[in-house]
Amino acid sequence: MDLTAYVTFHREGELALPAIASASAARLNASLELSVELVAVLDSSDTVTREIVTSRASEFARVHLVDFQDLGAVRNFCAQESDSSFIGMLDGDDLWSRNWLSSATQLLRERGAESIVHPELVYYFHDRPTGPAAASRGFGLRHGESSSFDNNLAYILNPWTANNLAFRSLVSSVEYRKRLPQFGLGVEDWSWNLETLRLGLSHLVAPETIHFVRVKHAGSLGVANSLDGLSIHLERAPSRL
Amino acid sequence: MSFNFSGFASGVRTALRRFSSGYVERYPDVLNFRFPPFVHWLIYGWREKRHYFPSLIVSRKTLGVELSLIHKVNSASYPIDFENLIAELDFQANLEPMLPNSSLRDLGATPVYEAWSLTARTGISSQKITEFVGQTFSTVVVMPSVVIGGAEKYMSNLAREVSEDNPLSVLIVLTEEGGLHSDVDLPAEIKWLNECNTLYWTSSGGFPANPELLARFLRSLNTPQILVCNSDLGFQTVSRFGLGLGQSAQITPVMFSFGPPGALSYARIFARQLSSQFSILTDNSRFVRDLNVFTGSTRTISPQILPSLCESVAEASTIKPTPPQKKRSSIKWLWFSRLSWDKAPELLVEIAKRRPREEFHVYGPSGPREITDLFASVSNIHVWGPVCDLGELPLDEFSGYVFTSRFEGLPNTVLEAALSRLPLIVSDVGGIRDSLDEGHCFLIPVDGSDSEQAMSFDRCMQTLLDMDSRDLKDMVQNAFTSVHSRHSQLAFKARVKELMREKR
Repeated sequence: MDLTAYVTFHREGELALPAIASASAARLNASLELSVELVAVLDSSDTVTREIVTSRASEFARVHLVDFQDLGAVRNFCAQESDSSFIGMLDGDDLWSRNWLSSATQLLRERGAESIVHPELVYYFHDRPTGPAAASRGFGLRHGESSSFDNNLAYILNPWTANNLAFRSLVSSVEYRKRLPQFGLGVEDWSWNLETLRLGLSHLVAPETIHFVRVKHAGSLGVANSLDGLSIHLERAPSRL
Repeated sequence: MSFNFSGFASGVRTALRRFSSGYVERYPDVLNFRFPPFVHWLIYGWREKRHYFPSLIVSRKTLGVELSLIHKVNSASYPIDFENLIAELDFQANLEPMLPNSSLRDLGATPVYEAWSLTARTGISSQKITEFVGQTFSTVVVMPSVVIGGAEKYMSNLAREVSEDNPLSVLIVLTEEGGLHSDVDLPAEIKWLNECNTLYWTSSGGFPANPELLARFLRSLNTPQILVCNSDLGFQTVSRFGLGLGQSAQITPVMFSFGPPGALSYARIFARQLSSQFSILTDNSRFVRDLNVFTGSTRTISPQILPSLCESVAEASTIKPTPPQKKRSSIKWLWFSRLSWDKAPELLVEIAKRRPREEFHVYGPSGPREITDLFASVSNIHVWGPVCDLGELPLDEFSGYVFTSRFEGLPNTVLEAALSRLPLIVSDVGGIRDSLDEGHCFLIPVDGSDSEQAMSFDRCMQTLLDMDSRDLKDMVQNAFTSVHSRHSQLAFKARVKELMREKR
């Protein structure tokens, strides 16, 4: 298998449905050029989410029920679970442009194993209110390649979202860190981005690809991290990147 | 249309119960409070900036992020492929009805920002931060501003000692408008701070007062030591993010007193939470006692006492004792302090009225005009303005040093006066008894009315003037010796070394 795209679920409920449909469309598009599978990983999920994902089990090559209660541990599990050349991470309440999986894999093939690929555009949309009001509040962030800005800024802001695509060998060699609220540490994707920058790996963007991110009315992980006072993990003492 | 009051009340009760559990989970010390968590929040929590209503905060924060993005960056010329975006939106909107499609709005107007744009993502408009991010410092000091004051002297001496007198290895983060004063206005000890690296984390400096952002910045620094003193933003930052920050640096909150009863001092706002995470550093044992009463909890990590370094010690040891003279053509008393209401200037006025034939000379940085006017209303009080230290004054002209303050940590001016061998008549406040007792000076209780206190001062001043010169000389020498042994450079160095060793 060339690519395994992992869709991770927790307590998304009915929001899992559009995510599964969007991931399937991206898989279908990518399957014209490479062998690709979708795998569902449900971490400490609730009954509704479990039922919804199970009802769409035919979309997935495998469905895993795990109990890590930790996004970093889930991502590490994915890196171990796959035997594909590439792996991609998809959050179970977001959506992706149909060209995401194919374009990202193509770019990785061109640029080699020391790279991580991100969507070019992240489009944030609101899950309420509905209609034109929600539309008027949408906005985008354009990801940049790590060579295009002062990487030290990555201490102050997370330059990339967690939905990336990379060689499996890279993801298994740089582990995601667990959430450790008892030590005030967490934010696994940001910590991982910093660690990969420190290791000198390249972060690239696949042109004209889009990640649609839902701005949640409540239950956002970023806000929860902030309220819990979590800081990023650092493998060693901070230094200039 | 009718309104169901009992249903409404029941809903409110349910909501409060739900928020209560979150409040207790977030702030376990609330369990020590004898009333329900909501009552704790009403009395203390809101003043201590604790969050009781998590859902409101979530929605406000979510909106806050988005609004700051939209309003701060002009995306008009941004080269994004909107045709592709619109095509994908139209496709994905069939899967997710919450996504807009091209019929709903002019998608070409969608704001798009660079993900690495500091301004768009954080509201920080200063690029100055980039020169410090990821850098190595021996010490980082977060404080409000650098002005003449005991706290500044203390922090300067502490940072100087910890950094082994290398200002270039120290970063000072100033969090309030005002910043550094010019060297001319500052005592030598505080001037040292001007030689350090400085970052103005203020709104005029291009930084929002956001604890999370300051925490991210501090986390990026390679430093073993972060000292925080008198900074609202600094204390908010370490009280929320100190646990994570503490993984790579020693966090030391520095506090001196709880302030007068009822005052909303930093100690009252932050000490409870900070003392459960860090060992607070202070200069006096009174603060430690107050902290124990205030927290009343075994969760408190023992605070550490580092007596201040008194700058005149080195020179003072070489000064010849100058016994006060009993008989003078004109009796003069010295009042040397910042002109503020907590120094009880009205008490000095009472005292001056009781001793109309004597003169009271006031030195210190100016304060509210009302205080100057108050002093001007009494003919035997003379106001001279600020001086950097006591050494600039004609000390041998004074019969003694009068200190009327109502609350203190450990006042430097009293220590300096003792080292200058001035007889002392001082309010028995703060940590003065750490260094001085009745064998060293006259201590006036502060629990009476103004007139009772003025009477006590008056009585002691007369006793001092009537004292046998040998007894007076002994008292002054005892005060000198006591302060010298506790506040010398040698003692300060040794204690800092000891503290660093304990913290390691």
